[in-house]
Amino acid sequence: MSVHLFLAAEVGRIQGGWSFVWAAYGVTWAALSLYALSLWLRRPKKES
Amino acid sequence: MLKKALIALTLLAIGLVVWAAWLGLAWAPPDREMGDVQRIMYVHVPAMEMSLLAMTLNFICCVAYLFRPRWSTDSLAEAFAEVGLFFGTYGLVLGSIWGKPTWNTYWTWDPRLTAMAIGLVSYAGYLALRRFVDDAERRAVWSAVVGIIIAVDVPIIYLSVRWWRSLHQVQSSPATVDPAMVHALRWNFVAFFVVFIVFVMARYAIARARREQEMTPPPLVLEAAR
Repeated sequence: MSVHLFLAAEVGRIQGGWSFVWAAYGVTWAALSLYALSLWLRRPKKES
Repeated sequence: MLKKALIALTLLAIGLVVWAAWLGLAWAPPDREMGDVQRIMYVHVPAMEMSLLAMTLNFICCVAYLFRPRWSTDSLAEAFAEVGLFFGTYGLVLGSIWGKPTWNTYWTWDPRLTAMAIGLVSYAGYLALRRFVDDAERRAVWSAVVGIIIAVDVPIIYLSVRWWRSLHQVQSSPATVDPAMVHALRWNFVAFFVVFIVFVMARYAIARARREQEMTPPPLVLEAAR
């Protein structure tokens, strides 16, 4: 029994999960874009 | 000159982020146990590294300001604090997304996660303090002191996984990781480091401009001085 469990643990791998990967990369790109935009909007403006 | 350098670095950063994302999403092999979910590592780890780097540099600026007060040091400390808070916040969100399929939970009061959360709240407080104090010199001194105190959390965040062996894994070493994964992770580190430089430069320019605006006497005073 314990040998079977050990073998199952050895070959165990999370299947799929691409939705989590895309969510993480989506958050990254959205965060970088929004922060870059906030820096652009706050940029020092030259006085005329 | 600075504007041109910022534009060139921004274009370089965009190119590197695209290249690094391709490496992480398509080129690197899936992990033996975590499968494709492990690809989150290529964005989560660099975000956290940039956050810890920014917090460390903020600490150095705070110490430097107390020894030799200069507006450039104070402005740089402000830039590092905000950029560190930014990278740390979204890095923590990425960790939470990664936690669901691997730990079966978005959040747990693991020592590493808790120490990071405390760090982020502390840096948010540091930035809030800078907003509330009107006097520029007092603000710089007070925030330098606060910056030094809250930096105590930085080594705790880094070493928490070694001190308290819990759910969060210990830092990996290139010796124990597939070379293809190390290659992809290093390119992601380079990409996010260039993004980090761009953000710090842009945020420093904002802080410096505000400081100069504060130091410039209003037009009426200038008129009276003539």
